[in-house]
Amino acid sequence: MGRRYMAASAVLVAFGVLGVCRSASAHHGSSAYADQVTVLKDATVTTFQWANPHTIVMFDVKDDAGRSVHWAAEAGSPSALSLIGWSKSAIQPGDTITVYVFRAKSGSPVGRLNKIVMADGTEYRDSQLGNGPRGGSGQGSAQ
Amino acid sequence: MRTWLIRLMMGAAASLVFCSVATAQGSGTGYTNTIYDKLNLGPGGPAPRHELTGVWAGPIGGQAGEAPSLTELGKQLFAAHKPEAAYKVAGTNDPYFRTCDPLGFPRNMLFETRGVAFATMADRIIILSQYQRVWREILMDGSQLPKDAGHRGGADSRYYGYSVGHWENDNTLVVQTVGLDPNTWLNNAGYPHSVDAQIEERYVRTDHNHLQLTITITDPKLYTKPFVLATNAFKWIPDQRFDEQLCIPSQVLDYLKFVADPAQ
Repeated sequence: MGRRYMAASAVLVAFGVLGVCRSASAHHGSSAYADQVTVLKDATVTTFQWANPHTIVMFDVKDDAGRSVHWAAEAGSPSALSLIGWSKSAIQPGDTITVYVFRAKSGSPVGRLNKIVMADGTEYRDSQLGNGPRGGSGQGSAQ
Repeated sequence: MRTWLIRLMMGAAASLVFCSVATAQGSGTGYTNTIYDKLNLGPGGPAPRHELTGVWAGPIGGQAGEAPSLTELGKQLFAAHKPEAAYKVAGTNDPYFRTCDPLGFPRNMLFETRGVAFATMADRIIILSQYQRVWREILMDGSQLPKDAGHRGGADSRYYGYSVGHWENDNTLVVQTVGLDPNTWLNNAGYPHSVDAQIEERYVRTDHNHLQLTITITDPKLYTKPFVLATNAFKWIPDQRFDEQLCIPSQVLDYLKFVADPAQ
Protein backbone atom coordinates (compact mmCIF):
# COMPACT_ATOMS: atom_id res chain seq x y z
CA MET A 1 0.00 0.00 0.00
CA GLY A 2 1.46 3.33 -1.03
CA ARG A 3 1.91 6.11 1.45
CA ARG A 4 -0.35 8.45 -0.49
CA TYR A 5 -3.12 5.86 -0.56
CA MET A 6 -2.75 5.20 3.17
CA ALA A 7 -2.80 8.89 3.98
CA ALA A 8 -5.88 9.44 1.85
CA SER A 9 -7.60 6.49 3.52
CA ALA A 10 -6.81 7.81 6.98
CA VAL A 11 -8.17 11.26 6.15
CA LEU A 12 -11.31 9.72 4.72
CA VAL A 13 -11.80 7.67 7.89
CA ALA A 14 -11.36 10.77 10.02
CA PHE A 15 -13.90 12.74 8.01
CA GLY A 16 -16.19 9.72 7.98
CA VAL A 17 -16.13 9.66 11.75
CA LEU A 18 -16.93 13.33 11.92
CA GLY A 19 -19.84 12.73 9.57
CA VAL A 20 -21.18 9.96 11.75
CA CYS A 21 -20.86 12.19 14.80
CA ARG A 22 -22.75 14.96 13.07
CA SER A 23 -25.60 12.77 11.98
CA ALA A 24 -25.68 10.94 15.30
CA SER A 25 -26.05 14.20 17.12
CA ALA A 26 -29.30 14.88 15.35
CA HIS A 27 -32.52 13.56 16.79
CA HIS A 28 -33.92 10.11 16.09
CA GLY A 29 -33.79 9.59 12.39
CA SER A 30 -33.78 13.29 11.59
CA SER A 31 -30.95 12.78 9.09
CA ALA A 32 -33.53 10.86 7.07
CA TYR A 33 -35.39 14.13 6.54
CA ALA A 34 -34.80 17.04 4.22
CA ASP A 35 -33.50 20.32 5.62
CA GLN A 36 -36.16 22.32 3.81
CA VAL A 37 -39.72 22.70 5.02
CA THR A 38 -42.63 21.50 2.93
CA VAL A 39 -45.92 23.30 3.58
CA LEU A 40 -49.12 21.26 3.30
CA LYS A 41 -52.31 23.32 3.41
CA ASP A 42 -55.88 22.23 4.14
CA ALA A 43 -54.84 18.93 5.70
CA THR A 44 -57.40 16.96 7.67
CA VAL A 45 -56.25 15.20 10.83
CA THR A 46 -57.11 11.50 10.92
CA THR A 47 -55.13 10.42 14.02
CA PHE A 48 -53.27 12.22 16.77
CA GLN A 49 -51.15 9.83 18.77
CA TRP A 50 -49.79 11.46 21.96
CA ALA A 51 -47.07 8.87 22.34
CA ASN A 52 -43.53 8.02 23.38
CA PRO A 53 -40.95 8.12 22.09
CA HIS A 54 -42.57 10.39 19.49
CA THR A 55 -45.92 12.01 19.04
CA ILE A 56 -47.45 11.25 15.63
CA VAL A 57 -49.90 13.33 13.63
CA MET A 58 -51.55 11.54 10.72
CA PHE A 59 -53.51 13.51 8.18
CA ASP A 60 -54.89 13.49 4.65
CA VAL A 61 -54.03 16.21 2.16
CA LYS A 62 -54.53 16.57 -1.57
CA ASP A 63 -51.49 16.50 -3.84
CA ASP A 64 -51.03 18.66 -6.94
CA ALA A 65 -53.17 16.23 -8.96
CA GLY A 66 -56.02 16.45 -6.47
CA ARG A 67 -55.52 12.98 -5.07
CA SER A 68 -55.79 12.46 -1.33
CA VAL A 69 -52.47 11.41 0.22
CA HIS A 70 -52.20 9.98 3.72
CA TRP A 71 -49.30 11.44 5.69
CA ALA A 72 -47.67 10.67 9.03
CA ALA A 73 -45.43 13.19 10.76
CA GLU A 74 -43.55 12.82 14.00
CA ALA A 75 -42.86 15.37 16.71
CA GLY A 76 -41.24 15.29 20.14
CA SER A 77 -42.36 13.35 23.16
CA PRO A 78 -45.41 14.43 25.16
CA SER A 79 -43.16 15.52 28.04
CA ALA A 80 -41.29 17.91 25.77
CA LEU A 81 -44.30 19.14 23.82
CA SER A 82 -46.47 19.75 26.88
CA LEU A 83 -43.94 22.33 28.06
CA ILE A 84 -44.46 24.41 24.91
CA GLY A 85 -48.23 24.48 24.73
CA TRP A 86 -49.29 21.12 23.34
CA SER A 87 -51.68 18.76 25.11
CA LYS A 88 -53.20 15.36 24.47
CA SER A 89 -56.46 16.97 23.30
CA ALA A 90 -54.97 19.93 21.42
CA ILE A 91 -55.25 18.28 18.02
CA GLN A 92 -58.17 16.04 17.16
CA PRO A 93 -59.37 13.97 14.20
CA GLY A 94 -61.29 16.15 11.76
CA ASP A 95 -59.27 19.30 12.51
CA THR A 96 -58.17 21.27 9.46
CA ILE A 97 -54.52 22.20 9.75
CA THR A 98 -51.57 23.57 7.84
CA VAL A 99 -48.52 21.38 8.28
CA TYR A 100 -44.91 22.53 8.03
CA VAL A 101 -42.85 19.38 7.74
CA PHE A 102 -39.32 18.21 6.96
CA ARG A 103 -40.18 15.53 4.47
CA ALA A 104 -38.41 12.15 4.35
CA LYS A 105 -35.68 11.94 1.74
CA SER A 106 -37.07 8.50 0.89
CA GLY A 107 -39.99 10.19 -0.82
CA SER A 108 -42.58 8.52 1.40
CA PRO A 109 -45.28 10.84 2.73
CA VAL A 110 -43.73 10.98 6.19
CA GLY A 111 -41.68 13.61 7.93
CA ARG A 112 -40.61 15.44 11.04
CA LEU A 113 -42.81 18.34 12.02
CA ASN A 114 -41.63 21.90 12.08
CA LYS A 115 -45.01 23.18 13.20
CA ILE A 116 -48.76 22.85 12.82
CA VAL A 117 -51.03 25.83 12.36
CA MET A 118 -54.63 25.30 13.41
CA ALA A 119 -57.59 26.85 11.60
CA ASP A 120 -57.80 29.58 14.28
CA GLY A 121 -54.13 30.45 13.81
CA THR A 122 -52.83 28.64 16.90
CA GLU A 123 -49.34 27.28 16.28
CA TYR A 124 -47.88 24.11 17.72
CA ARG A 125 -44.15 23.92 17.14
CA ASP A 126 -42.04 20.80 17.45
CA SER A 127 -39.83 20.62 20.52
CA GLN A 128 -36.83 19.58 18.44
CA LEU A 129 -37.13 21.20 15.01
CA GLY A 130 -39.75 23.85 15.72
CA ASN A 131 -37.20 26.54 14.96
CA GLY A 132 -35.69 24.78 11.98
CA PRO A 133 -33.06 22.10 11.54
CA ARG A 134 -30.21 24.23 12.83
CA GLY A 135 -31.99 26.78 14.92
CA GLY A 136 -32.94 28.93 11.97
CA SER A 137 -36.39 29.71 10.70
CA GLY A 138 -36.63 26.40 8.93
CA GLN A 139 -38.57 28.03 6.15
CA GLY A 140 -37.61 26.79 2.73
CA SER A 141 -39.29 25.87 -0.50
CA ALA A 142 -43.00 25.48 -0.08
CA GLN A 143 -45.35 23.37 -2.11
CA MET B 1 4.51 8.48 8.74
CA ARG B 2 3.13 5.15 9.84
CA THR B 3 2.96 6.28 13.49
CA TRP B 4 1.12 9.40 12.39
CA LEU B 5 -1.39 7.32 10.47
CA ILE B 6 -1.96 4.97 13.38
CA ARG B 7 -2.50 7.89 15.73
CA LEU B 8 -4.98 9.48 13.34
CA MET B 9 -6.90 6.23 12.97
CA MET B 10 -6.94 5.68 16.75
CA GLY B 11 -8.11 9.23 17.31
CA ALA B 12 -10.88 8.78 14.79
CA ALA B 13 -12.00 5.55 16.43
CA ALA B 14 -11.96 7.17 19.87
CA SER B 15 -14.01 10.06 18.51
CA LEU B 16 -16.58 7.65 17.15
CA VAL B 17 -16.95 5.93 20.51
CA PHE B 18 -17.13 9.26 22.28
CA CYS B 19 -19.77 10.78 20.03
CA SER B 20 -21.82 7.59 20.12
CA VAL B 21 -21.80 7.52 23.89
CA ALA B 22 -22.42 11.21 24.28
CA THR B 23 -25.28 11.17 21.83
CA ALA B 24 -26.84 8.05 23.19
CA GLN B 25 -26.96 9.47 26.65
CA GLY B 26 -28.59 12.66 25.57
CA SER B 27 -25.83 15.15 26.09
CA GLY B 28 -25.46 17.77 23.41
CA THR B 29 -28.37 16.53 21.37
CA GLY B 30 -30.38 19.69 21.50
CA TYR B 31 -32.93 18.38 23.98
CA THR B 32 -33.84 21.49 25.91
CA ASN B 33 -37.53 21.12 26.52
CA THR B 34 -37.45 19.42 29.87
CA ILE B 35 -38.46 20.64 33.29
CA TYR B 36 -34.85 20.13 34.31
CA ASP B 37 -33.69 22.62 31.70
CA LYS B 38 -36.25 25.19 32.75
CA LEU B 39 -35.73 25.00 36.52
CA ASN B 40 -33.35 27.67 37.74
CA LEU B 41 -33.19 27.00 41.43
CA GLY B 42 -30.93 28.29 44.13
CA PRO B 43 -29.72 25.94 46.83
CA GLY B 44 -32.98 26.23 48.79
CA GLY B 45 -31.18 25.73 52.08
CA PRO B 46 -28.98 22.94 53.38
CA ALA B 47 -29.60 19.33 52.50
CA PRO B 48 -31.63 17.61 55.22
CA ARG B 49 -29.88 14.69 56.92
CA HIS B 50 -30.50 11.21 55.47
CA GLU B 51 -33.35 12.44 53.32
CA LEU B 52 -34.03 12.26 49.61
CA THR B 53 -37.82 11.91 49.84
CA GLY B 54 -39.56 13.92 47.15
CA VAL B 55 -39.96 14.37 43.42
CA TRP B 56 -36.94 15.35 41.36
CA ALA B 57 -36.39 16.32 37.73
CA GLY B 58 -33.45 15.03 35.76
CA PRO B 59 -32.46 15.76 32.18
CA ILE B 60 -33.48 13.42 29.39
CA GLY B 61 -30.10 11.75 29.76
CA GLY B 62 -27.04 11.71 31.97
CA GLN B 63 -23.47 12.53 31.09
CA ALA B 64 -21.25 9.74 29.78
CA GLY B 65 -18.43 8.71 32.06
CA GLU B 66 -15.07 7.25 31.14
CA ALA B 67 -14.58 4.97 28.14
CA PRO B 68 -14.59 1.43 29.56
CA SER B 69 -11.94 -1.17 28.85
CA LEU B 70 -13.72 -4.27 27.57
CA THR B 71 -12.57 -7.87 27.81
CA GLU B 72 -12.65 -9.98 24.64
CA LEU B 73 -16.11 -11.27 25.55
CA GLY B 74 -17.20 -7.73 26.32
CA LYS B 75 -15.99 -6.56 22.92
CA GLN B 76 -17.94 -9.31 21.19
CA LEU B 77 -21.18 -8.48 23.00
CA PHE B 78 -20.73 -4.74 22.51
CA ALA B 79 -20.08 -5.20 18.79
CA ALA B 80 -23.34 -7.15 18.44
CA HIS B 81 -25.37 -4.24 19.78
CA LYS B 82 -26.59 -1.72 17.23
CA PRO B 83 -27.49 1.45 19.13
CA GLU B 84 -30.17 3.76 17.82
CA ALA B 85 -27.79 6.71 17.66
CA ALA B 86 -25.75 5.02 14.94
CA TYR B 87 -28.30 2.73 13.28
CA LYS B 88 -31.48 4.81 13.63
CA VAL B 89 -34.75 3.42 14.83
CA ALA B 90 -35.18 1.36 11.66
CA GLY B 91 -31.82 -0.39 11.98
CA THR B 92 -31.21 -0.69 15.69
CA ASN B 93 -31.52 -3.97 17.58
CA ASP B 94 -32.12 -2.09 20.80
CA PRO B 95 -35.24 -3.79 22.18
CA TYR B 96 -36.29 -0.59 23.88
CA PHE B 97 -36.50 1.43 20.68
CA ARG B 98 -38.18 -1.30 18.66
CA THR B 99 -40.77 -2.58 21.13
CA CYS B 100 -40.62 -0.48 24.30
CA ASP B 101 -38.96 -3.29 26.26
CA PRO B 102 -38.10 -2.20 29.79
CA LEU B 103 -34.97 -0.09 30.00
CA GLY B 104 -33.80 -2.00 33.05
CA PHE B 105 -31.33 -0.70 35.60
CA PRO B 106 -29.02 1.25 35.44
CA ARG B 107 -30.19 2.52 32.06
CA ASN B 108 -33.43 3.84 33.55
CA MET B 109 -31.40 6.19 35.76
CA LEU B 110 -29.50 7.53 32.74
CA PHE B 111 -32.16 7.93 30.08
CA GLU B 112 -35.63 9.49 30.27
CA THR B 113 -34.97 10.74 33.78
CA ARG B 114 -37.37 13.65 33.53
CA GLY B 115 -39.10 12.56 36.71
CA VAL B 116 -37.64 10.51 39.57
CA ALA B 117 -38.97 10.27 43.13
CA PHE B 118 -37.68 8.83 46.38
CA ALA B 119 -40.09 7.50 48.99
CA THR B 120 -38.80 6.49 52.41
CA MET B 121 -40.35 3.55 54.25
CA ALA B 122 -39.35 2.03 57.57
CA ASP B 123 -36.90 -0.47 56.14
CA ARG B 124 -36.38 0.63 52.55
CA ILE B 125 -36.22 3.49 50.09
CA ILE B 126 -38.34 3.23 46.96
CA ILE B 127 -37.04 4.90 43.81
CA LEU B 128 -39.84 5.68 41.40
CA SER B 129 -39.27 6.53 37.76
CA GLN B 130 -41.87 8.58 35.97
CA TYR B 131 -40.96 6.93 32.69
CA GLN B 132 -42.96 3.70 32.45
CA ARG B 133 -43.96 4.15 36.11
CA VAL B 134 -41.24 1.81 37.29
CA TRP B 135 -40.09 1.44 40.89
CA ARG B 136 -37.12 -0.14 42.63
CA GLU B 137 -36.71 -1.18 46.25
CA ILE B 138 -33.52 -0.29 48.10
CA LEU B 139 -33.39 -2.32 51.31
CA MET B 140 -31.93 -0.22 54.14
CA ASP B 141 -32.32 -2.71 57.02
CA GLY B 142 -28.94 -4.38 56.73
CA SER B 143 -30.17 -7.08 54.36
CA GLN B 144 -27.53 -8.88 52.31
CA LEU B 145 -27.59 -9.04 48.54
CA PRO B 146 -28.53 -12.45 47.12
CA LYS B 147 -25.61 -14.64 46.14
CA ASP B 148 -25.46 -16.31 42.73
CA ALA B 149 -28.46 -14.41 41.40
CA GLY B 150 -29.14 -15.46 37.85
CA HIS B 151 -27.33 -18.77 38.26
CA ARG B 152 -28.84 -22.22 38.76
CA GLY B 153 -30.03 -22.47 42.35
CA GLY B 154 -29.75 -18.72 42.89
CA ALA B 155 -32.34 -15.97 42.84
CA ASP B 156 -33.82 -15.11 39.44
CA SER B 157 -32.17 -12.29 37.54
CA ARG B 158 -34.33 -9.20 37.15
CA TYR B 159 -34.51 -6.19 34.88
CA TYR B 160 -34.12 -3.97 37.95
CA GLY B 161 -32.04 -6.33 40.08
CA TYR B 162 -31.74 -6.55 43.85
CA SER B 163 -30.56 -3.51 45.79
CA VAL B 164 -29.36 -2.64 49.26
CA GLY B 165 -28.25 0.76 50.50
CA HIS B 166 -26.69 2.69 53.36
CA TRP B 167 -25.95 6.28 54.28
CA GLU B 168 -22.25 6.93 53.97
CA ASN B 169 -22.59 10.30 55.66
CA ASP B 170 -25.39 12.79 56.29
CA ASN B 171 -26.07 13.43 52.61
CA THR B 172 -24.62 10.52 50.63
CA LEU B 173 -26.68 7.43 49.89
CA VAL B 174 -24.77 4.48 48.44
CA VAL B 175 -26.73 1.70 46.74
CA GLN B 176 -25.37 -1.66 45.56
CA THR B 177 -27.30 -3.68 42.99
CA VAL B 178 -26.77 -7.21 41.62
CA GLY B 179 -28.79 -9.86 39.79
CA LEU B 180 -29.44 -7.87 36.61
CA ASP B 181 -30.95 -9.62 33.61
CA PRO B 182 -28.16 -9.67 30.99
CA ASN B 183 -30.63 -8.95 28.17
CA THR B 184 -30.63 -5.30 29.14
CA TRP B 185 -28.06 -2.73 28.03
CA LEU B 186 -26.17 -0.55 30.49
CA ASN B 187 -26.94 2.55 28.44
CA ASN B 188 -28.14 3.73 25.06
CA ALA B 189 -24.67 3.24 23.57
CA GLY B 190 -25.19 -0.50 23.95
CA TYR B 191 -22.61 -1.39 26.57
CA PRO B 192 -23.42 -4.90 27.78
CA HIS B 193 -23.32 -6.40 31.25
CA SER B 194 -23.20 -9.92 32.58
CA VAL B 195 -25.53 -11.39 35.17
CA ASP B 196 -22.67 -11.00 37.66
CA ALA B 197 -22.38 -7.23 37.23
CA GLN B 198 -22.30 -5.15 40.40
CA ILE B 199 -23.60 -1.61 40.12
CA GLU B 200 -22.94 1.16 42.61
CA GLU B 201 -25.09 4.27 42.75
CA ARG B 202 -23.77 7.15 44.77
CA TYR B 203 -26.32 9.90 45.45
CA VAL B 204 -24.91 13.11 46.93
CA ARG B 205 -27.46 15.73 47.96
CA THR B 206 -25.40 18.87 47.82
CA ASP B 207 -28.17 21.16 49.11
CA HIS B 208 -31.94 21.07 49.41
CA ASN B 209 -32.55 21.46 45.68
CA HIS B 210 -29.73 19.51 44.03
CA LEU B 211 -28.81 15.86 43.85
CA GLN B 212 -25.85 14.29 42.04
CA LEU B 213 -25.65 10.65 40.94
CA THR B 214 -22.56 8.67 39.95
CA ILE B 215 -22.91 5.12 38.61
CA THR B 216 -19.94 2.75 38.75
CA ILE B 217 -19.83 -0.67 37.08
CA THR B 218 -17.85 -3.68 38.27
CA ASP B 219 -18.18 -6.60 35.88
CA PRO B 220 -14.91 -8.55 35.44
CA LYS B 221 -16.35 -10.86 32.79
CA LEU B 222 -16.90 -7.99 30.39
CA TYR B 223 -14.71 -5.13 31.65
CA THR B 224 -11.07 -5.25 32.71
CA LYS B 225 -11.60 -2.85 35.62
CA PRO B 226 -14.39 -0.94 37.36
CA PHE B 227 -15.42 2.25 35.60
CA VAL B 228 -17.76 5.20 35.98
CA LEU B 229 -20.49 4.57 33.46
CA ALA B 230 -22.13 7.96 33.82
CA THR B 231 -23.21 10.76 36.08
CA ASN B 232 -26.58 12.39 36.32
CA ALA B 233 -28.03 15.37 38.11
CA PHE B 234 -31.45 16.09 39.56
CA LYS B 235 -33.25 19.23 40.67
CA TRP B 236 -36.06 19.47 43.21
CA ILE B 237 -39.43 19.99 41.50
CA PRO B 238 -41.17 22.80 43.44
CA ASP B 239 -44.74 21.53 42.92
CA GLN B 240 -43.69 17.89 43.48
CA ARG B 241 -45.81 16.58 40.62
CA PHE B 242 -45.18 13.72 38.22
CA ASP B 243 -46.23 13.38 34.59
CA GLU B 244 -47.56 10.19 33.06
CA GLN B 245 -44.88 9.13 30.59
CA LEU B 246 -45.44 5.76 28.99
CA CYS B 247 -43.87 4.02 26.04
CA ILE B 248 -46.70 1.84 24.76
CA PRO B 249 -45.78 -1.12 22.52
CA SER B 250 -48.75 -0.75 20.15
CA GLN B 251 -47.95 2.94 19.69
CA VAL B 252 -44.26 2.38 19.05
CA LEU B 253 -45.16 -0.29 16.51
CA ASP B 254 -47.36 2.31 14.80
CA TYR B 255 -44.44 4.72 14.91
CA LEU B 256 -42.17 2.18 13.22
CA LYS B 257 -44.79 1.23 10.65
CA PHE B 258 -46.02 4.68 9.70
CA VAL B 259 -43.00 6.93 10.30
CA ALA B 260 -39.59 5.49 11.11
CA ASP B 261 -39.40 2.65 8.63
CA PRO B 262 -40.92 4.50 5.62
CA ALA B 263 -38.56 7.40 6.30
CA GLN B 264 -35.50 5.23 5.70
